[in-house]
Amino acid sequence: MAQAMTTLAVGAELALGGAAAMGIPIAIHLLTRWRRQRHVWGAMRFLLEAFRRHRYRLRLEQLLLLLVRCLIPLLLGLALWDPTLAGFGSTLGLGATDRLVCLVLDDSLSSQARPGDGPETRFDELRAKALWIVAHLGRSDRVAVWRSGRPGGAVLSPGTYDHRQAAQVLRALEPRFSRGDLAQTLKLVEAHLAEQPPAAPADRVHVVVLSDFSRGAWVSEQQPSPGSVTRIAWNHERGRLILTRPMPAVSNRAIEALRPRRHLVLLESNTASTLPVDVTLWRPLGEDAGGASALTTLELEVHGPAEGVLGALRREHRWESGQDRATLRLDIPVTVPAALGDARLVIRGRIDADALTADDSRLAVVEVRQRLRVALVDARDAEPSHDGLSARRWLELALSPTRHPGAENQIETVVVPAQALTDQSVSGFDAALVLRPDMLDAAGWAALGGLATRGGLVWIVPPRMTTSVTWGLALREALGLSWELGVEPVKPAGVDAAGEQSYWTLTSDKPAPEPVALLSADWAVLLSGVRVYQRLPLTVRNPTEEMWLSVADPRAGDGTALLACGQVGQGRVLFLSAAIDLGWSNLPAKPLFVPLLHESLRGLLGESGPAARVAGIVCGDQPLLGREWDDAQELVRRPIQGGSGGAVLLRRAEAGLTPIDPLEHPGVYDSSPRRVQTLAVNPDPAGGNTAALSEAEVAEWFAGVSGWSWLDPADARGTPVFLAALAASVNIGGVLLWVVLGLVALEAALARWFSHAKVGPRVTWMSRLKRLVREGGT
Amino acid sequence: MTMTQTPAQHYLDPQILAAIAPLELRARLIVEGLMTGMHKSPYQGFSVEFAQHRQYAPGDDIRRLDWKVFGRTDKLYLKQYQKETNLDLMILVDASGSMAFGSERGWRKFDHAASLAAALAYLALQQQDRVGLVLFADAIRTITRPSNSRGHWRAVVEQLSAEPLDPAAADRDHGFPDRKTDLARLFDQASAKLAQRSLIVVVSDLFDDPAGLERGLARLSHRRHDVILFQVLDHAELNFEFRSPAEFVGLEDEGKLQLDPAAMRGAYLQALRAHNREVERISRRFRFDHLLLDSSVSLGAPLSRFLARRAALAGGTS
Repeated sequence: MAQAMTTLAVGAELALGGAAAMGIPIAIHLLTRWRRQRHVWGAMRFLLEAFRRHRYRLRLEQLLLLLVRCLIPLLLGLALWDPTLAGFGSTLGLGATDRLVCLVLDDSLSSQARPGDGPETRFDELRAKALWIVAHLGRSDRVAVWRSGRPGGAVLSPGTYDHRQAAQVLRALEPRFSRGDLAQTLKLVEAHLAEQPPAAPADRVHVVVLSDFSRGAWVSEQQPSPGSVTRIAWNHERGRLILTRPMPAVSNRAIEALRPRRHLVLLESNTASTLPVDVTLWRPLGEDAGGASALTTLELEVHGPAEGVLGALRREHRWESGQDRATLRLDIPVTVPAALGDARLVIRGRIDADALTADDSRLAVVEVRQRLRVALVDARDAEPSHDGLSARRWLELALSPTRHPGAENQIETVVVPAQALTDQSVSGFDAALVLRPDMLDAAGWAALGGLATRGGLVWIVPPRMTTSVTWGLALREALGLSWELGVEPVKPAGVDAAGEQSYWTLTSDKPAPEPVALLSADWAVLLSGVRVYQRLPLTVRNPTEEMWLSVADPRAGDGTALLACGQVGQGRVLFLSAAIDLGWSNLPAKPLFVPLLHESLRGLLGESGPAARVAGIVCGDQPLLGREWDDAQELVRRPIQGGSGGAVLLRRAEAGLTPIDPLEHPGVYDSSPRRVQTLAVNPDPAGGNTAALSEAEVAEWFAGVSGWSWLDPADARGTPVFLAALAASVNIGGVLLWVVLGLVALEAALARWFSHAKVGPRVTWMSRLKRLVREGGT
Repeated sequence: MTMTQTPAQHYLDPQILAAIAPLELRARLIVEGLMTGMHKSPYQGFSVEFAQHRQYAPGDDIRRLDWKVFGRTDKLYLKQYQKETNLDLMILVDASGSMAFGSERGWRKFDHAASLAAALAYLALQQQDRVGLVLFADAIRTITRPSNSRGHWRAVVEQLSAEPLDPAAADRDHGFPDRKTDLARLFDQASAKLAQRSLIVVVSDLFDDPAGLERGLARLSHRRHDVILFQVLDHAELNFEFRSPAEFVGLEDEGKLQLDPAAMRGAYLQALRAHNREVERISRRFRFDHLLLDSSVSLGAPLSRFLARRAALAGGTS
């Protein structure tokens, strides 16, 4: 818009200049009348006679010459001001080629596919069509260039008359790695056309959509499907849509996803370990191919911050007939050196190259830690349990089982007094297990909230001797959770037939929560032996907060949650409604207890950790980076295996740092100047769908748009059909310029003719000088 | 006739003459220049020895018919005798406003005319012819009676020099002299003052109505006077080579005119040439001589050619 206004302003200045320049010959004319040399004259009668005879002709000559001289700057100004020129031409019906052609070029990931054996891609074909259209535009036609790869937007807008510039812009374009975003791009084009003053007639605006019309060119919710078509919206008054016909499908295989099952991994140095990953392979066409072509080889490599491969895995997958997607659960063997410390590892997956190579590899980042630090927030003196083990002791045994000298546990537990809990006392811990919430003051609750907000894990359990809960409100307010805690512990009614204490069992109808997905295979078994003898009623009101465990009590209604999980800031808070005491539940003594603690720590800390927060970034995203990136100024792209580097500047938004431009290129990006954070950017898997839409499907999608047409190849002269109708019309710009040239020649001829200079010798400076010399000599 | 320019003839150049203040000296230089450049005496142009035949006209004395010529040619010619050749030379010099024009600094058309008149007077007086002078504009302003006495030439010259034709002085008072040429009236007045047949030399730009000129010449012709018309025009008037738009102010109260001279040049020259052609036609009609003089060109060559031609026509020389 600003550019359009600038163009108009420059044009207006030129027009004003032309109008002002028109005053120059008038001023000269008036000045010559005013400043005349005076001669006394003897033969006045003949002069008067000649004047009386020719005065009307002379006056006419002067006026004619003045008119020509005024027209020259005026027409030149008009010729140089394209909008005026176009409007003038339209008014006269001469400038019939005054059109605006918006080329919307699909540069999404699928356009990188090579339909044949040669190096030419679909994008090259589409670009060639765009150049072909530009080459056949009239001189008074404007051309604008947009691209529809996400994020879609203008490349050359508003339209320019400089077709050479447009061609250069087109040649400089490279296909992107993102999905197509044509619907949004067309909305932008439509809005832009609506803002153009004055609105051009619809029959003079052509929006040419140059797309392969593969399914990857469209975001998934826009894909037409019979019966539920989200038709594209387009105001036909803004212009006419012209679509390229869909290209045939191209066989393609892709790594759709490369997901570490843990974003946070505890690895011992110099010890063989594994990195568990899930890899999803995808072939959009699901073709039935037998033999070698049904085989896809997957190679996985693990890279550290330095050069070298820390681990690798090769696996072959044989596609079944009609299969289009396969998820492989793999463990990559890896050995990390001792010097590595806490670091971020890059996992790179790669399959055999095919027609679309951009989606044949994928990257993921895993945070590797040598040790986690967990604070046990408890009274200074742990209260004894009736069976001899306190809650603190249960937790210490579960998290740090090795206590002999020289042994190192991957999870370090430190007791922090609950009475004096502050921000400072929990700083440096990854998680806090709160055993005495009843002893916390406001500062203590605020410290827990701060830890969770920063991405830490807070696990709260009620103390064993709880008779009434007085801290429930503080918990809700400090952590901003919807949980409602009962005031008193509740027990199941009566005793069973065997005279044993009644208890609740846990429901096992839901799968294991995602952070503890590693337990999912045994989840039901692990839950089956757990008995709950008493608990605090816990109700989760907010549907975004999860109930990991709940007791099976058909009469209880609300308040059946045993273990609830809620998000606070970037971290998580878990609440176990039964104390870690065998009088409340046999959970501490059951096989579920230790893996639940470990997996929830690793899983939740991994999910809320830096690596998880930047996972899943695809090309075209402009992600918001977490606090751990705060001291970064730019993202530096790491050249991997011959790839090019590059940097993207960061800007500070309200919610944190974000790249100033969408991330367009896949790769591993490190924070700079301090290389402490790393993220992976991958091609958008949705963009790699090379399955083709049929013409009927495209037509159905555009059914709501009146007057659209296919881009037909050419007429007999090779001109695009939609341009051919007006291509032979007069170019008013050229006409005006030629008129100006003609007027200049006419002015010269008239000036000479009207001056009657052919009679008599021409008085030049040289002749005057010679005369002076002659007179001086005499 | 080819003439080589002698040093004396240099003095016929108007620019040099303009630098010589006394008219007397100018006239002498002109005459000396003429004498030096010609093989035959220019006196013959006005020679008393000259006897010529003239075609008979009704009313002529038939006793003067030349019967020998009649016998040879069957045409009647009169013999002209001694008495007729003792002619009076009456020089009429135009002193109208337009004669004050001169594109060369200090050399007006009147200066050219006055030099010519003085030279002619000098020549005539050298052969004992009587010379009179008339200065005129719309009418006769001054007249000097014909005489061939000693010192008469000085009187003629003084009369020519005394003419107050100073545009600058006139402009200070009431603009340029607005005296217009009126040739018909002039010739009426001159004819009335001439008692006998005379050779009347008119030196003027002839910027008057050709019809008036024709009427006047008809009267002079009727009175048997011979007339020579010296038409003096400035080089600028003859060529009109102005290029820049200019304002032209008439010297005879014609007002002002703003125009582009280059655009008007053709039409102006057309009008001027038409006028000159008409003058030429009229003079031929009455068998009078007409000579157009450019005031920027030396008097010697055209004047000597003219006098030689007259002498040839008179049969004195070839």
